[in-house]
Amino acid sequence: MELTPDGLIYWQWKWVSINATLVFTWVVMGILTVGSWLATRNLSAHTRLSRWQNFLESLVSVINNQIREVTQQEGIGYLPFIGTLFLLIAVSNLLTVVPGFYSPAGSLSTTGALAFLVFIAVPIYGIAQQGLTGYFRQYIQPTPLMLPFNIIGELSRTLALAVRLFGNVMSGTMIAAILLAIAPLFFPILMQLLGLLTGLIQAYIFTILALVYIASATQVHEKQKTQYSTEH
Amino acid sequence: MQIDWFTFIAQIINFLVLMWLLKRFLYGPIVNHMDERARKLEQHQEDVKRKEEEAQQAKEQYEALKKELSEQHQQILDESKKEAEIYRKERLESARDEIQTLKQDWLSAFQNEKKNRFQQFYQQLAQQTLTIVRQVLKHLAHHDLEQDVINEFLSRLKKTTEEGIHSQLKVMEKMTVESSFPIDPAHREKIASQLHEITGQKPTIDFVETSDLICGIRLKTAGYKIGWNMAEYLEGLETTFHHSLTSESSEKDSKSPNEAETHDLIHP
Repeated sequence: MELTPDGLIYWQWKWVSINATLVFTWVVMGILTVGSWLATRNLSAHTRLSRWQNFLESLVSVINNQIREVTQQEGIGYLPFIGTLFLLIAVSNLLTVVPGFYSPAGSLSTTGALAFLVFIAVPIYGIAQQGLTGYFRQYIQPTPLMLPFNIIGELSRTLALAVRLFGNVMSGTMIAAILLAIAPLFFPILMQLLGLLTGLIQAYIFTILALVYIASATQVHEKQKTQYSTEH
Repeated sequence: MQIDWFTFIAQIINFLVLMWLLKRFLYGPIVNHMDERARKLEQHQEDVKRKEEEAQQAKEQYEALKKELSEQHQQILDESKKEAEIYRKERLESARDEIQTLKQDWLSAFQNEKKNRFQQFYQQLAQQTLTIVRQVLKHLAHHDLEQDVINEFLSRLKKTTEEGIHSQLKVMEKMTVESSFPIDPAHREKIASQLHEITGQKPTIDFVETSDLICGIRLKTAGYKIGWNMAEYLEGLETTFHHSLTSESSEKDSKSPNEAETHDLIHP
């Protein structure tokens, strides 16, 4: 069996290969997009809501509240990025209950890509919040000596982010496969259920960590501003 | 366990595409609608607040109006009471006046009635008295009295000459001598001779006996009467009666109604 869906290649032309990771990612994207389109087709601004709208609004509100709690800022600006991260990973992991579905999060390429996006997003949000110098000054805080360590920390946490998600999802798949071989009756089902829980938790952890990194990049400035204002 | 770089890049692109799609189909509409709803709710709350204020104002206006109306009502009620009181007093006064007028009219009518009755009574009394006197005199009349009456008549005839009116008698050819008693021929002759003496003529003399006279005799010519009659005294008496009655009633009439009323009240 394949450890990652990257190994399941449906079509290949030179170095361009359409593997299971991409296909199932598109499936998840399709489900999310169509679902969103269907759900938001008949939105109303009245006080009476349809169930779907109510659910979606609750979901968006929960994500928004999480963002607000972690960043201590208004969450609307981070919502598309953070929300998409969470929804993509969560739906990918939840759909593993469907037989024959491989979670794209079980591919290191996917988790690496997502971690890389976080790695890129952090400076983007940081610079957007506190400017270029303001953002890069934090790498030499508290002293310029810390610059290498800060850079290493930045890279390592990105790596950890990618590997953590990949490892958890992949291990879940692995455990299910191994248990299927050892005890084919009840344990795989339990492990699948556990896999659902793990998948959701991992989605949550990945998103929250991404958020924390972004928040740390944007909140430094706020601290400095506070210090500056107290000093003067 | 390695990274497929094509997949890596493809996943980055996929993620960005998905992010755009979700922003387009999920976050955008939902957030917009949530914002819109929040705005609507806020607006609704403002509307509610404004309407509450309006309602409060309306209530205050209504209360003020109610109070004003109540005051007006009380004022109108008071005025009505005053007017009713005035009207009542006026009516009472008018009724009193009316009663007073009626009383005056009644008193006046009563006085008139009383006066009439008195007058009637006095007239009857006078009449009765005269009748009695006439009767008495008739009964008392006798020969000697008649003789005296005739003598008196003759002396009066004689007096006409002295007063100068005998010339009026001369032109009369026919004379009538009325008497309440029969005149004997001797006296008739005496009267005739007397008249002859006065007038110088010999007129035709009719001696007539009449009940109009009371113990009296009179010479009646055209336009003139000469004689002596008891009835003349009685007529004088009657005139005196009449005069005294008339003067009494006019005196009573000249009295004011109040005096009359007072008089009546004191002597009902």
